[in-house]
Amino acid sequence: MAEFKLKAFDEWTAQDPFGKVKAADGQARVIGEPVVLRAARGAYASFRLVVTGKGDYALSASVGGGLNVELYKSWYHRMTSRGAKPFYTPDALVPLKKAQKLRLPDPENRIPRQKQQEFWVDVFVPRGSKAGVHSGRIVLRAGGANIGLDLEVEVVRATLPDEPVVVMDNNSYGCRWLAEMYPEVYGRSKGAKYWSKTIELLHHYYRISREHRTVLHNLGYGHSGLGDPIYAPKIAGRGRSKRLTDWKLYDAHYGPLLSGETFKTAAPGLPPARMKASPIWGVYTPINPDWPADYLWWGEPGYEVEFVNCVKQLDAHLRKKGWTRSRIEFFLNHKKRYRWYEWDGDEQKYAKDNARHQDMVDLWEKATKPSRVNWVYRADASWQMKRQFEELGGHRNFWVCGGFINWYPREVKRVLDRGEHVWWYGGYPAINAASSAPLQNLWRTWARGLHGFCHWLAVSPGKDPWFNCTGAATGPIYPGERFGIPGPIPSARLKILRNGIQDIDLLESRARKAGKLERVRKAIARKVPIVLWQEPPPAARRLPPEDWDSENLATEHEPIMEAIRSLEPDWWKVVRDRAFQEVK
Amino acid sequence: MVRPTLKKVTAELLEAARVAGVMVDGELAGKIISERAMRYIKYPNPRYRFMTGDYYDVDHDSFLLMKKTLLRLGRLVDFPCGTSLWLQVPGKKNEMTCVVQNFKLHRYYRFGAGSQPAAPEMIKCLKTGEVVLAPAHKDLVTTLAPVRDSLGDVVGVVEFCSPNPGSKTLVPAWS
Repeated sequence: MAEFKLKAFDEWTAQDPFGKVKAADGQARVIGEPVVLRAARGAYASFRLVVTGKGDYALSASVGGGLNVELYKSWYHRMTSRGAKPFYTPDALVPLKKAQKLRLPDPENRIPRQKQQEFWVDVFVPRGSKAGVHSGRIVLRAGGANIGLDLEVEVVRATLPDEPVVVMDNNSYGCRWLAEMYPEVYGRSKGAKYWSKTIELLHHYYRISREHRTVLHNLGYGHSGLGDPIYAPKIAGRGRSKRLTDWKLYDAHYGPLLSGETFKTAAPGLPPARMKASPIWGVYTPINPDWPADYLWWGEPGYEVEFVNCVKQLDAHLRKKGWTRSRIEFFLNHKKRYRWYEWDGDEQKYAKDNARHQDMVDLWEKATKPSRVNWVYRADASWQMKRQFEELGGHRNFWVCGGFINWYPREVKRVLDRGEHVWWYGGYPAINAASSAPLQNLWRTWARGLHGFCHWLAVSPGKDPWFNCTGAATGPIYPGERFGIPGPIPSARLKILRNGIQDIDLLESRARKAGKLERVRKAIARKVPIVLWQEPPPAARRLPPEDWDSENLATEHEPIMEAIRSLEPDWWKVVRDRAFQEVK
Repeated sequence: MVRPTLKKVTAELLEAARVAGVMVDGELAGKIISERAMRYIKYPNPRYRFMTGDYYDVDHDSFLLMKKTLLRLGRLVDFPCGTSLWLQVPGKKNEMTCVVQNFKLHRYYRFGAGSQPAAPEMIKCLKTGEVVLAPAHKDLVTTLAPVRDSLGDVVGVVEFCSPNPGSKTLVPAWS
């Protein structure tokens, strides 16, 4: 028993299974005993618990005052770098069952000479909790003896708002990846059963996102314009007689999201649902150049008739069902570089393509104006965003802007002043970046006064994220099947992001109430060394976007997150401390 | 709907390819991709892998005309059929670029590729100017039609691609 030890570290200190701190995390920030945490009602407080020792053990945790504690075992992802010795980085979090038997070295993770095991500890403060300090304890049992670690959780006199003030979005594409990740869930299912399992799994991804104060988006159609049957009602006829005919799969998929029903329960293996079961923030639609109208008739009267009649029907269906709160996102994702269409729906490079957007918007408005449905015209703008802001604005716009947004503070302000919705997009950091790196884009979003940020892909951690991990920058949500969980599991990155969102929610709600939001925003911005706006490079000022490229802009256009390395690993503390200062 | 036999699928795709060999205009095909886009297809920047895609641009009218032609050709058969137009990259022997495609069925297209080596059956179609049936594939049946310009030169091929009736995999949804 004497071999085992417990130590606590802050959430931004990750260590490998041998006790070495992740290079990007600087020095280990040990938390002494008792571990002192602070949280608002409806919020989580977290830390990392490290167990050193050898042999069998079990862990348990409890806190008084009706607070909940959850433990997750960190998975050490095996990574390699150009023939060098493999190294291990913790990220995926496997929820611990009650009285689960554990062993060091961990036979599941298969790390030769593993010396320690990290656990993520989440303490949740229910909304009705009493303010004040609540005591708790983590207990490790091994060989009939116990060792413990005391906790003190201060519940502050503030409650988190039901909905986050900025939307941090997890994007995803299609659903075929689920069958690859969950072969046991699917078994040999086909037809209706296959689609039912797909919908169930997708709902779990929506749930895990919501419970981490983020949103999941799942686009149903590919660049060709076609997708699987759960994303659109069936369609029949052509021209004047074209109709949407069978809503069964569409309703099974979207109904519970648009009513909020999905969020009444949690994803399997994870803590109970704690967020309010409200209708989802927004969903994509199946509308694209080849749905519901046949592109064969683009530019002809039949295209308009098919498009307007069917979109009217979709609108009527949403109204009839009462699904009018969530944003229904009319969005065009195709890119001409993939050769299906002659114009860019997404990340448009050529100004001439604006005319096609305008044609589509005209048809959409013809079909949906006026309507109680919360329709928005979502445009993912990059090269041409400055021009698009002017030429395509004024249509219930929802802009999702690429990294070039950095160059346009005045233009963005004008768009915000028009009352339009503005997000921007990029990626998650790879797991070997600083543990606090997922907060960088959250900070930029809030500090610039934007409404949200879209992580362009968040459910795809790679072919073998467990033993041959390439950084999992596109997958902070992992499949749980190898741990016997028929649904997704979270990661340290997702939890760090959630905790940061909580801080922003607390900060903004208090500062807004006190009428000093902009003052507070500016005061913190002075202390956070992240540049929010930049001058465009000379090529961007001299040339039209059609002539910009990665070489003359000296930047890659694809959304790969390059975490700022000069930041202190615990730079976010400034934001968190200010949030709690506002409570006092 | 009754599932067609392999024999029927093959025969109808060969017939569709024969029609395409007559209907698809090689001169129109050559006007679709902009000169600059073709330059970047031919000479991709080794440092910036997305640059060829960033510069990809087409003449809207020519593209649309070709796309509609291919859509109609794909509907000559009464089962799912993808149609794609491939052109030779000028000055690069046996290197092809996809110019227009429809539906989600394709045998050769690599997602995001600016150009790619011609499959042997494409080379055969280009050389002989005849309709070619691609080698057997467990999931797909493919035929190729020659595309001629006004000089009678074969400048590209149209790919017809349908599910092999014997296939047990779902038709791809995401391309």
